[in-house]
Amino acid sequence: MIKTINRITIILLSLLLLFPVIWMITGSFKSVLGAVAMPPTLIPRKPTLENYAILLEYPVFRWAVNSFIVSGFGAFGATVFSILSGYAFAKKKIPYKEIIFVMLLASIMVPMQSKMIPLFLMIKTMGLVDTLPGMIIPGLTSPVYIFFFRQFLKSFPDDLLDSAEIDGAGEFTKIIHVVVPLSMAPAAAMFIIGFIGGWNALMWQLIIARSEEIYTLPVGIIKLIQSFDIFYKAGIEHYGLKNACATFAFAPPLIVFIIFQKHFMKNIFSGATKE
Amino acid sequence: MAINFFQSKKTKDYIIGLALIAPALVIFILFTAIPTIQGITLAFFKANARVSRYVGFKNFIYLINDDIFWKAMWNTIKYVGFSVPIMVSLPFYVALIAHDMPKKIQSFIRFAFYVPLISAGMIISIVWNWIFSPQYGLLNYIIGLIGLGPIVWTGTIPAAFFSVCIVLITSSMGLNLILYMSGLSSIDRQLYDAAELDGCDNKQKAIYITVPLMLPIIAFVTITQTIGVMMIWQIIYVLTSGGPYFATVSLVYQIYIRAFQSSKYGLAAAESIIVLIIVLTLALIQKKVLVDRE
Repeated sequence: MIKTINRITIILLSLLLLFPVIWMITGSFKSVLGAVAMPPTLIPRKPTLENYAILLEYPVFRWAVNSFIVSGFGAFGATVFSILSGYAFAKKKIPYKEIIFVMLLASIMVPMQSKMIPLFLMIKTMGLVDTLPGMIIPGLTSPVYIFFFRQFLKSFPDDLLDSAEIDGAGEFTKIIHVVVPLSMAPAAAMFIIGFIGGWNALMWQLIIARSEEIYTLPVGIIKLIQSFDIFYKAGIEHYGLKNACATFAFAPPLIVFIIFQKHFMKNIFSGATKE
Repeated sequence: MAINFFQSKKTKDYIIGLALIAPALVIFILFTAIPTIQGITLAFFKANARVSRYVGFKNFIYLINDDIFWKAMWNTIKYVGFSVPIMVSLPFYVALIAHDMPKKIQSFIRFAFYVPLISAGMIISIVWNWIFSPQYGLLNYIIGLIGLGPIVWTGTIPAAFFSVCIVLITSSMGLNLILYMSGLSSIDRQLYDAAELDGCDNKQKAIYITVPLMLPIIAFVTITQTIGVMMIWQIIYVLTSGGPYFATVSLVYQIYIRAFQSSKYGLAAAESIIVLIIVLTLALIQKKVLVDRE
């Protein structure tokens, strides 16, 4: 009995957590008056696409492309650099290896805010303010990833690398033909996490993006939401349009997550679960 | 001699190792290490878009005497105190119940908890703004059905504080749940079977087996979530802009405003040093709790 109540409770709770997202998506098909009509309904009485039509008058696809570039290159770069350095930390001799590694780990604790202002001034001197590289480059080293790949590659049999070497493989060949293929599964999971993380790294993007062509999608949407006037129609706030904005910004990471969900859960936590 | 040096196996290994970490290391030094150190020195300067002058501890003294700083500090503590216990315990309860439910339902629950986390806090706050709307919001409509309200959710004290907490809590529990679920599934089934043979009921099994074994994960979730909540700013930015009367400003929101809207770099840097000290202290506690236990 208690078991059943508990089970029903947690399913209801899950629905409750999912609800704002569903409310946002259906709300994006409501007209100005439809969104404020009482009593509120989940399914719009007269569904309309006008909100998306208004949205498309703004360079939202340009922003989406920017977001894909920023999060894609960012996640790809961070993953590749982390495999390389994770491999070096796990298997190679490096002068002052321990000190460098501890320094990297310590930096995980440092919040973005503590380095944000000098970093911004540095990016400004480099002339990278209001450019996509300015958003991407500072995130290319991820100490968490490096730590992760070091742990992963440490458990990697030395024999495999040695036998490749005996077969005459140079360092480069070993990396391309042994290390990379065997790290593929966790690398894919890391790439997805990095991609979604990069998509949402809003503070830095808000600081760097100045002109409309450089906005990433979330930045563009936030700026749009703040540009007040298009959201008022006959004195009523245009919630339908706001929801369309939010849905449009929400969709890409959601789709990426849904496609890769299985993969992602399996590879990140396979170490922790026994199956 | 020189040829020997370059040809020795050890040197070659060093060069390869260095070459492999070089890209990550160069970017780390340029864009993390140097700015962090500069950020610490910046706190001792009066710095804005035009001037940069050494002022010693003046920024810190200004902050100590600034009511809004203390307001932000107190609010941040309240955010942590109110939301972290829920964000740590609720997913644990859910994981306990969910983990012997069918796989399909398990993955639905995981999905439902994780989805609000997928998008930046700012985006999910947009729809909450509508739900909280005094006139047209769903929440006031619902409490109206049972004869309550209307409440100006994001514009009055103390409702605004709780509005931010509601968004924060509902949108940040996904990873905790996933960690708990994978932790639970790694507990050896035989332990439960043995306990059952000894006559333990479900409650005793939970208290004597599950909770002790999960303690490291619970500790990890508590600390990371505390640090995460301390960094809260996006929800505030969209929902309340720190108002009414600074009732919802957090430390990080204030740092953002001071640095990038008022251009008071030195002051913002000083404030972020204070956040840094708090976070490092928490991280040290984390290390003590998590690593030294083992």
